[in-house]
Amino acid sequence: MEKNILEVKDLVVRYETEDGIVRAVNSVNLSIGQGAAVGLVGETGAGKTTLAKSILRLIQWPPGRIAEGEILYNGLDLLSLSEEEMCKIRGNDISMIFQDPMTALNPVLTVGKQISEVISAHEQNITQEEADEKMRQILATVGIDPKRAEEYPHQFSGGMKQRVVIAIALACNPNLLIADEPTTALDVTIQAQVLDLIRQLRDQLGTSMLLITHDLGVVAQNCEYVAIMYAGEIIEYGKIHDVFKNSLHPYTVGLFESIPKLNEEVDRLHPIDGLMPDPANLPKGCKFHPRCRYAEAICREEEPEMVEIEEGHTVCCHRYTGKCGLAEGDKANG
Amino acid sequence: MEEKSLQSNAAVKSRSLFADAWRRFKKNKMAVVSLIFLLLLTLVGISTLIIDAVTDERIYNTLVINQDLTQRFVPPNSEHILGLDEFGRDILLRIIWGTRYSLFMSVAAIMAAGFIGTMIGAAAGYYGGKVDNVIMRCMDIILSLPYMLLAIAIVAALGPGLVNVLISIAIGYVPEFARITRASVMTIREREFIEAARAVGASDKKIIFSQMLPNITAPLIVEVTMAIAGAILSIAGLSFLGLGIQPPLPEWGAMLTNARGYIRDAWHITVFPGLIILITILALNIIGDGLRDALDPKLKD
Repeated sequence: MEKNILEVKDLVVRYETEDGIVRAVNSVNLSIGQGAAVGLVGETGAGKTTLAKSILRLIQWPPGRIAEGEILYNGLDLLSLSEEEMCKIRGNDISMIFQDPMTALNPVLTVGKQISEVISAHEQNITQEEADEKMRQILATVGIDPKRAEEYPHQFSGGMKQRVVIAIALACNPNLLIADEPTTALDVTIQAQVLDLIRQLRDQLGTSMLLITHDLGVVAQNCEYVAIMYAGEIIEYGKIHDVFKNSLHPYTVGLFESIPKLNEEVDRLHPIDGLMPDPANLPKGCKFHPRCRYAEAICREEEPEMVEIEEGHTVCCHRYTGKCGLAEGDKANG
Repeated sequence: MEEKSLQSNAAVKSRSLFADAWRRFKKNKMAVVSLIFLLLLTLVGISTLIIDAVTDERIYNTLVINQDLTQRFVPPNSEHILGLDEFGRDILLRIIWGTRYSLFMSVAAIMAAGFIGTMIGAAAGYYGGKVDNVIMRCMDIILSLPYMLLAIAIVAALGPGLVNVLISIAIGYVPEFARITRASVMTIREREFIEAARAVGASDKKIIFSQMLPNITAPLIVEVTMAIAGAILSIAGLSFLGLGIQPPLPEWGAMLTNARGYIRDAWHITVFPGLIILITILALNIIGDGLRDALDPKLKD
């Protein structure tokens, strides 16, 4: 198997608020191979952004805290680094694209300044002219006229701002790019442009990517692997093709059923009943059982473990651990 | 192809926040007049420094300091536009030479206070928690003392004189700047672009200096102009009490206090120094108001 550049092991992140402990991420395991793109899909509040931020150690204390686990970047445990060492990793090795380009840019600095600043922050022996020159090249790479470097963020449209954000993220050729819903704030045509751009740049630079989104279509187009996240846990993980064609977890199945399909006549979509549990007050046993149509006694009592169903395709559900009577027959039908 | 269409509006000239503010500032006639007055005053003040340097302070010694008791209380006339004071010195020249004490000293004091206050406030606002608490409680202690009383106490402790006056004024204004900076930094701290900056590896220092400070220059500039006006008053006040600039140096407040005993016999020796203080402070306040409106148009109305 190819080398993993990022391995997240048993990561637990909590927000300790006055109203109680919010368990945002619970024992998540995730690995990203060199050059691979992993999609992280889940509902709002599933802990996707928290997971992404904890990789960069951007969880603010208080109230957030990485309680347990390891985050290995090329074998180096990021959680044991000092803040200074972490500063060198951020932007240089691991970089992040934020959800909303309208707020992710500093309104009083020119976009060129914001890009060249990243470059000069990470490359010690670079002169201002060299940094500017590099900044112009990057602007051109993301499809912005370098002449516009002297302009301010408010003079750009949303899509152009997202390009600038991408330019900042890629300014130092990071190994791993974390894209936190990079297209959510954009309209559909611009979404397509931005995703195209990210794909092109990944092809050129060989960057690995963790793409966070709630759009399964975006994942299908851009990623090789997909992780489905629910209530702070990754409940299903596998190659795109496996997960899309052979969804195992009832939640994943429910997600696919709530997407309209072009090739089928359907009167009504089948959304998943109920809401995500409050992460401050998670149910016992399988987190999904209150909404699961296959839930049994064991689901209410015991947390299911990850099982590998086919190569590289894992799922976290009692129906596949053999502890649940219905499982085998149902799986055959499904 | 797509790129071309995206670039077609590149020709629009870009304007920075300050270019924009300047455009709005220019519409405010009073503020522009005040600014011109202040620039003239600065120019006059600087030229006295140059004149002193070139002539080896000859004009200063013969006309500004030197007394001529035969010419006491000469009212304004064509030779001495503002008249002569109780020691026969030209009031206009003394006012002009006094600019350096009033204007330049207060600018220097406020710059020092602004620098220290901004650093302290930025650290307090950015780190929050204990750092914030310790710093701001210290500032509160300074703020709890009446400003003039604090300045008097410091000067009384250090002894009168130029540098000591400067220090006392600066210390009094540090908390003011610290509070403004802290409040502004706290509003920006949680904004996403700060997190974004952190995500690409900016250190705390870099975030404070290159991401936050540019965002809070507007309130700071306004505060600086207002504080300079206050500092001029304080310097004049201290001199008036005999704690500031010592005679025979031509400081405006000192001129006032020396002249006040003769106010019934010679009106001109108190009125003109008083007027110049009044006009300068008025001008600074108008500029401050104008800048506030110009830098933050949302605040207006």
